[in-house]
Amino acid sequence: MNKDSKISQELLETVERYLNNTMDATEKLQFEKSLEENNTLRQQVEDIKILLSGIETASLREKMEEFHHQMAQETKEIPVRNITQNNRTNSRLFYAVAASAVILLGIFWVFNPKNSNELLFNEYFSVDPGLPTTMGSTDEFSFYDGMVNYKRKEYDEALEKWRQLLNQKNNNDTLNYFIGVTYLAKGNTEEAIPFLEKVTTQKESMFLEDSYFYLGLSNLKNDNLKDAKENFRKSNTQEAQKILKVLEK
Amino acid sequence: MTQLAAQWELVSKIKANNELVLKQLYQSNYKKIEVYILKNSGSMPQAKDIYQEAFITVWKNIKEGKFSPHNETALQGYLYQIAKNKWTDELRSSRFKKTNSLESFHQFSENGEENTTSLFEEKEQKIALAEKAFQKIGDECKQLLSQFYFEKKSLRDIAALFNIGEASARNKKYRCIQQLKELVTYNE
Repeated sequence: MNKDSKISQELLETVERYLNNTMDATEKLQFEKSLEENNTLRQQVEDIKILLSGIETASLREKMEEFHHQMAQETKEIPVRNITQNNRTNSRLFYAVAASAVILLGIFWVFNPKNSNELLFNEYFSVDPGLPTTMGSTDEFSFYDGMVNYKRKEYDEALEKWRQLLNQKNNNDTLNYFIGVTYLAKGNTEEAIPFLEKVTTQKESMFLEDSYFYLGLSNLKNDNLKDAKENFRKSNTQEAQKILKVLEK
Repeated sequence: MTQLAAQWELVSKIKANNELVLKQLYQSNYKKIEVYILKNSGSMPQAKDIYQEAFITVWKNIKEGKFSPHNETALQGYLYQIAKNKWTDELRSSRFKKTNSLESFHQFSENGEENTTSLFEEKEQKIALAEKAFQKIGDECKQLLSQFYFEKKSLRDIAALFNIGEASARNKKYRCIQQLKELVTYNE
């Protein structure tokens, strides 16, 4: 880098305009012409470009450290569950516990029908685990950004991002489903129901069964048994069938 | 939007250093490369280093218009490929130090493109010097330059952040660049 050629403020800002493509046609033409003719200028511009590249690269390195750190934090928070051996025993245990819970609840149901709706809801409601936040082929970054919030249980932030997206994609089943489920996770069944119902109008949606299930849970929580049973009947998920058995005893 | 158009959108956002996009690209592709490097006799810190170098290469090539997506996962595949190549080079270079026969083979194979490589490397070295100098300038300068040149914030926004007038932000930026240049020439 040339020690003696001082970069003037004017030159710096000219080069910025040149690199940002904000020169008008005349200025650009002129500038490129002087670049060709003037060796000193060419060297100075090269020097500036190198400085700016250095700044950008160093900044990116700092950002990458942040990204990496965050990622490491997140993997620490969410235990990895894909160790198959473990998973199998876990799920076996889960079903055993669930089965006995169903029996107990059934008994409880018979003797105390009023409060058991809430109890049954609590027993069966677990927040949808969400979608993996890998970058897919679409560029719906705010959707996945919201998904990160959702997984961190920052439901209000997730809702804010998704509801904004919904303005553009009113009928999107994924969006409607997760907005509904998020409201339900917040315990707000009134808000949850219309979104979930919207998903159930799309019979080919991959969220159809789950939507009926969560819709059933919402109605159950609202003591609206008739609709709840109807919803569970339409959902082919195991949980829905189990809960239906309890309800129809 | 088609998936290919989405890739182009991605490319243009990376050119603009969109933080969210960079973060997502970084975080969603790391694991795969870590697995690859760990499987091929590398360590976790090595995986991180190689990945970050690959990430910078991808980012630079995008900025210089050297990469154009041809299919819907082109960018992710490109990042993976570059990281793999870098790891292969790394494995080779550490073996070079121990094996003479390989070393002479290496010299032979690189002879043909010596000129272009050195020109490219010279520029890379200069940028590396500028990076080092950037680490040494004051915190305020670092922040200001980073926000202007990396995050592409406007002078007005930066002025507001530093609680100064727009004109002083503009002068400050110039003085910081001068400082940076002096440090680089001093180190050269």
